[in-house]
Amino acid sequence: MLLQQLVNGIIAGSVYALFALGFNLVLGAMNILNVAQGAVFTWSALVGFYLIKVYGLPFPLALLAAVAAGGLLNMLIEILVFRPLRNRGGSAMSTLVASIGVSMILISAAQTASDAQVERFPFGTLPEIQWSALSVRLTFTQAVVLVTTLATMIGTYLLLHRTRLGKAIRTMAFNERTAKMLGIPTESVARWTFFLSGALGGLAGVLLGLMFSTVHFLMGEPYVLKGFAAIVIGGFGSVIGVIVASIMIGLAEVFSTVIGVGAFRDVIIFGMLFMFLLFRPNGLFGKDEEVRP
Amino acid sequence: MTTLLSRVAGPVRTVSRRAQTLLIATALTVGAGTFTASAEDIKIGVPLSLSGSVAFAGTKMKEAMELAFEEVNSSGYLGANKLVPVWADDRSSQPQGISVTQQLALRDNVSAIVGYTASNICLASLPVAQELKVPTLQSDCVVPGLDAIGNYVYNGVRPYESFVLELVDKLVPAKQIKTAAVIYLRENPVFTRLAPAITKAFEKNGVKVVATEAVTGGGDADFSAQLTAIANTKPDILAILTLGGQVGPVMVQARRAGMEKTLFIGEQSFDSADVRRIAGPNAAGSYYPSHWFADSPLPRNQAYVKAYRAKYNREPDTFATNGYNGVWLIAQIVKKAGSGDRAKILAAMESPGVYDTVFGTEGKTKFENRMLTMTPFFFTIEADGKIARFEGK
Amino acid sequence: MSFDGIALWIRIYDHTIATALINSIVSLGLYISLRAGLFNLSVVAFQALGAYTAGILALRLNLPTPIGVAAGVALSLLIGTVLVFPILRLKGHYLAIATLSFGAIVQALALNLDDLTNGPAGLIGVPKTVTVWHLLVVLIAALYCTWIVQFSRMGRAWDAIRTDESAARAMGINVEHYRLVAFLATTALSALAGALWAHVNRVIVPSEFGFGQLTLALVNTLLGGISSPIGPVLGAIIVSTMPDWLYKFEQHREALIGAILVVVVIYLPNGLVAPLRTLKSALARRFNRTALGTAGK
Repeated sequence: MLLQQLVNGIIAGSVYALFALGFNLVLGAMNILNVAQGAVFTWSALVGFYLIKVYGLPFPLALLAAVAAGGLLNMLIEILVFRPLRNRGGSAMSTLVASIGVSMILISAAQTASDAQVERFPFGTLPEIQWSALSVRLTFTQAVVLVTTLATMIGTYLLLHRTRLGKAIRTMAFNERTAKMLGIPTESVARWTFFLSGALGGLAGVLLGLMFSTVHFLMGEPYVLKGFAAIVIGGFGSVIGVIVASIMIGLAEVFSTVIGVGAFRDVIIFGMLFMFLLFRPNGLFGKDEEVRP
Repeated sequence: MTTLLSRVAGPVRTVSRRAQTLLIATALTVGAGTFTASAEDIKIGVPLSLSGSVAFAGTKMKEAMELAFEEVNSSGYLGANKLVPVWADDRSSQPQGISVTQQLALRDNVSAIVGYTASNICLASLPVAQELKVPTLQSDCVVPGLDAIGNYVYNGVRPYESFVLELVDKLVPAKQIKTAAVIYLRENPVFTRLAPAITKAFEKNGVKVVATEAVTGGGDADFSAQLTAIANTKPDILAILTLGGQVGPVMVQARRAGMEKTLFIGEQSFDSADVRRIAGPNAAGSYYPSHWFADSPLPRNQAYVKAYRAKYNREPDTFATNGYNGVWLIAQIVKKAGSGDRAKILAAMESPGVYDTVFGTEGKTKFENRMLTMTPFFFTIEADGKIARFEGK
Repeated sequence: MSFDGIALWIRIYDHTIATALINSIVSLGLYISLRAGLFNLSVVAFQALGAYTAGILALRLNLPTPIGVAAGVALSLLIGTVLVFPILRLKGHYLAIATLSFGAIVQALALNLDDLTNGPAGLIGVPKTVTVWHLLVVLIAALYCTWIVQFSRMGRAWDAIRTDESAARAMGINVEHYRLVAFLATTALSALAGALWAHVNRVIVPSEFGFGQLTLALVNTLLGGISSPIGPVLGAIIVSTMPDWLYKFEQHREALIGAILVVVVIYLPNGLVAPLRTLKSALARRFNRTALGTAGK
């Protein structure tokens, strides 16, 4: 059983990682804590669901469309809300509050769109195969999730460290003024950062909805705070850190059930987060610079 | 400030004009309450959870209740009088439940209240309805203790605990169950009470409860940790005590975790087309009690199901039916009372009487200790997704 | 409107008004932290602590209301002090996340410590000893104190810290000390509001001390603006009574509040009170109590 729980934890953790990576990108590059990421996650899942259920699109196409939708939605939020706010000199606090507002609007819209009902991706969206080895069961869907998240993480890392866009994002994360001085088109980079972040969140949403047979308007809620936890514990700014922290959180949740305190799993996770904030705010892999605002 | 001062110190005729208006308003209100002979609009307050976490149930209730109000009025059941629903949304929040109860009672001057969706809203709001002396018929709350709130509060449903426990008593010998496990939603008082109750019932029947796991939130979708732990103990039956939207996913993930032959037992939330839709073939082997089922041959029920289907293009579920039944119960009570006066309505509720209902197969029911009598029926979901009656074999 | 009319109106809307007043007190608390530049999102957590303490003492030990309320505030201040030292050196987002996670922990504990808090069913039957009038008195007192503090040395120190922390430090202001006081003031007000709430609502459940309540506090405070203590109170009253004058849009209330939040944050960063502020300064000058007037001490 322990091996199976390990797998459960890693799978849950990798979905958290996708979500948290999106968070991390925007926080790093733009110093914006975008709570609306949870709503984008939900909307992508809904879009994916509708495309498959109502329009009968094959899964890979629907997935791509849903991911793109997530990216576009996030980008739209940047253009309509965050950019005007920044132009008016918004502080870290006001951007957080604005993102909360956007999140509320989107979730309310999702409730109306889905009629407050819980849905699931139609049976057969992905083949219902299950493999069994060494007392560990793995479904086709779970395997797809694992492979996709792994590929995405590697892809994100490569994007950030090997491409021009990635370098631009990292420069902006370091110091926006410097980036401007170096001739980086910060506005357009900002937009792309949001797109990527939304795409990551969207991917997480669809995969999650698929894996757990649930699509509904409140599905994003629990992930926001866990995303925060992942960024803090992993170390703000570090892709590897966020991934490791997310997996740790997934494992912590699962093992709290194993040792019998499953009901307290939230207390454990947030307790961990709190401890890190007290004693090691830079997280596991964060640079040892001053504590970034 | 200044205007208030002048009003107090001002000319006498200003004061008496205000008093006159108030007097007329009061007279009209009182008059509306006691007027019986000619066509009268009898206002019925309907507080429901139309937004927030329990909206999925509240919205269904509203639809069916709208149907019921229409039927009552268009059929001339109350003669020339009409029942006018005053809808209110408690937003799945208790403070708001209290607020709307106060407003329905004092501002809208409803003759009676029928409704409420969630148990914790009932717990908060019903004492207020009692205080304000409004005859109230709550239609959807199943947490125990609501019969003790006061003489103005009546219950159109009763706590499910006894039905579930009865089902356990039947199932254990019929299926020769030796081990059981429980997974329950922590966030909801109905389930946190039911979990130990069902555990005791299992143990009373000689069944060993090998695992109990909690689901923290109503929005949770990942049950893999809990179900893996439970699957490891290989229970014969799993009690799934969660909200309707979670039951389906739990079943799917449970089967996936290795509990292919495990039976499932649950309560009211199992009875929904949503569960069967989401769980699909994984729901086979589920057992649950219900006080109502769509296929009941009762003519009243068949008419209701047909009308609901025609109007909303889907199957009614238990929430909807609870609401529908509540409205018709109130209509019968108002008819008995002969007016929209609160005192008369209370007297009608208190006097013994038999009422028509769509619950069950006999079609008649009454209040016992302010709770509607209900007969439980037991159902099982079969491999092809169909529901069948479970008699105890 | 005659007095009878007013009395009836108050009876009908009694609970709505009480809710608005309680929210005002919480918003006032949040206001103090925001003015000091503290991104303190723990208001709901301390509201919960205050509410549960007062509720448990009233229900289990039958203690009179004032003792329960005082105990709620005292306990929260204790926990606030213990938590404060390590947290306050965090800035901006980190402080926000820290206080948010503290809130999540408190809520999860309330949900799971059945023996103490009765779990999800919550505390039921807390005696309703607090009325709208009590709340009005408390709110006015809190407003008065906040007003006084705002124009005192403490208030100016907070303004300095909020505007530019390093500059404030350079000017010799003991930043840590003032942040501590602001945090504890917020804690005390939140706990007070929570404890009173227990005695108004009669029922206390864990689910009402979550993110939703927090966003409400934020909306209330920001709508009115943080330029004056009246701001959060005004904001709280407007938002709390919103369902009653926005009947048709009930179902979209969340979206509406979210939209208000976004619009206010972008276009009305000083909240609604800002345009009224000029009027106030004019009046203040009349009564010789301008912001500059007290600087001469």
